[in-house]
Amino acid sequence: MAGPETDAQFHFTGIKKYFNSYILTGRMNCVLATYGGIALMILYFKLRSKKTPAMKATLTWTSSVKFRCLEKLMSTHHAILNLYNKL
Amino acid sequence: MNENLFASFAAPSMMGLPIVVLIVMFPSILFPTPSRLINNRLISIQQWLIQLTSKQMLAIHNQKGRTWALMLMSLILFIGSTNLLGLLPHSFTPTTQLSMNLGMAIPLWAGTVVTGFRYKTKASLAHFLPQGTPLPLIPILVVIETISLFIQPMALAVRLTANITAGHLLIHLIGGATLALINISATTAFITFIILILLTILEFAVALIQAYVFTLLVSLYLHDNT
Repeated sequence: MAGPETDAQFHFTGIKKYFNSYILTGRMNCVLATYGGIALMILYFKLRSKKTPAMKATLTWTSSVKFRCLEKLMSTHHAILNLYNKL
Repeated sequence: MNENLFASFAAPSMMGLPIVVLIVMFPSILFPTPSRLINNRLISIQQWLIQLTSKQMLAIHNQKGRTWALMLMSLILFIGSTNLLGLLPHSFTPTTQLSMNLGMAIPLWAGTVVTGFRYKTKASLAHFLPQGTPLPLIPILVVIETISLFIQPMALAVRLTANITAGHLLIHLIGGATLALINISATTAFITFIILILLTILEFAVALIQAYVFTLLVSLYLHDNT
């Protein structure tokens, strides 16, 4: 059975001292690292943008100053036309 | 036919009121309480049986595990007596209900897991990775061990439910077949009757074995976590 008494026979150095499948601490750290990795993957897929590059370009254009000026010009043009038709 | 086959597993009610609670509590009346220093034969036999079972079951446990002695003994007595009473004709067996068995399995399993994480956090976490696992297999094995941990209460409950339900269904079917064959062929009916007797003896054994297996597995989960 694994325990502190059997852990004494293993002597690891470097990163293997903290991440191995022989001593209690090493096994615990491997388990926690696996859970952390799974949690990070889930977080990454949840937070990543679902918009495609074409959609992003369209949205950038529609939110730009040029587009807003053009939109205002068109609405003014439509207002003048309506006024002319009423007269 | 279909309606008759599963009618015995329906929750019983009397005059519109559910009496399943009374049926669950009924086996406790059958265990007399010792009230004297030297009791009568029945209570002495009961005490001897409980002592024998508890000695056998708690031998592997340390001081902490033995605090669960009352819980484990109550569990084996309850499941054993309920299963045996269910073999009486036209009786209702609570342990055929998955809800009942899940209600026993999940809290007991969760209790052992929480005890393990509370008092031996490092060992409980390290338990998810078997010693000596090769490096490439570590992530997949951790996932597999986690899944196997969460399947334990489901397996406990479903094992008991399936065993007792299957046994009762078989008795019902073979009993029905025996009755149907009496008018057709007496010899075949006799052979079927012998099979029915053997099956009933088997069901007596299964009733006690399933109680023992359920309690033993809870005891093993406790041993892993204490």
